[in-house]
Amino acid sequence: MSDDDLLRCASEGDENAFNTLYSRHQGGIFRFALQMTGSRSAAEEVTQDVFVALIRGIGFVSSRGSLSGYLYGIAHKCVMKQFERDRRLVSLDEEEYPEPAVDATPLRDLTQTEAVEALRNAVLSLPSAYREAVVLCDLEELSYSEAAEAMGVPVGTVRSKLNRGRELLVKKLKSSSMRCTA
Amino acid sequence: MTNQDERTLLAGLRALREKAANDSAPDHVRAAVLAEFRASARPARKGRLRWWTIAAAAAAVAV
Repeated sequence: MSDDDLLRCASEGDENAFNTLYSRHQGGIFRFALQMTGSRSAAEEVTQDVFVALIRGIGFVSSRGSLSGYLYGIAHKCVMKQFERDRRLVSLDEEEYPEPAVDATPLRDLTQTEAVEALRNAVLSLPSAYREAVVLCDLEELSYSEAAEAMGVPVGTVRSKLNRGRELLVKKLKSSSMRCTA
Repeated sequence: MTNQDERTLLAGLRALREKAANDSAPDHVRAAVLAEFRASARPARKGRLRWWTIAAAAAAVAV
């Protein structure tokens, strides 16, 4: 059954349909919130808030484009609220962000367990706008237009934030491997 | 960023995506969301019942 069919049934009170929608989309929303906040409890709270918001607006959703884009859009707002509430989770703006040292040596293999963990930490330390583009496009594999809908920005802005986010990741990973080998 | 760096980064992000693929919200979140769904569905059912009750009463009066 498509998301639209399930939404229609859920709007008529069909709990099984709503449960199927929840099962289909909760993982992505939870992972997005976890990658954005770095906190499992914050991610749980965001996931719950997103689906409660879906319940309250269920009759208006199907005409708005993809359900994924809609849900990630609510998740984006919930994460921003979390950031406002808990300043410790807010990363620095780009202007304040210390630019890592540039290194001409190639990036080391990132597919080993330890390197994947370093990459996860590097993603978490990105300024939030770049982190969001990387998480949505590279980790959750949303299309540029879905990511744009979720972030509330034009597609071109998603592309530029994603490119900048990737550049910052490479610089961070190179500078941390330089520190490790020093 | 060189092309090689970009390829390495994308391979790393793919590995991170695969590692996190099974991350999901715990069951108590599902339970809370479903409880909210039931609570929101209940007034709607009451509302429909009231509408039908009124319609039935109106029909009885008309007869």
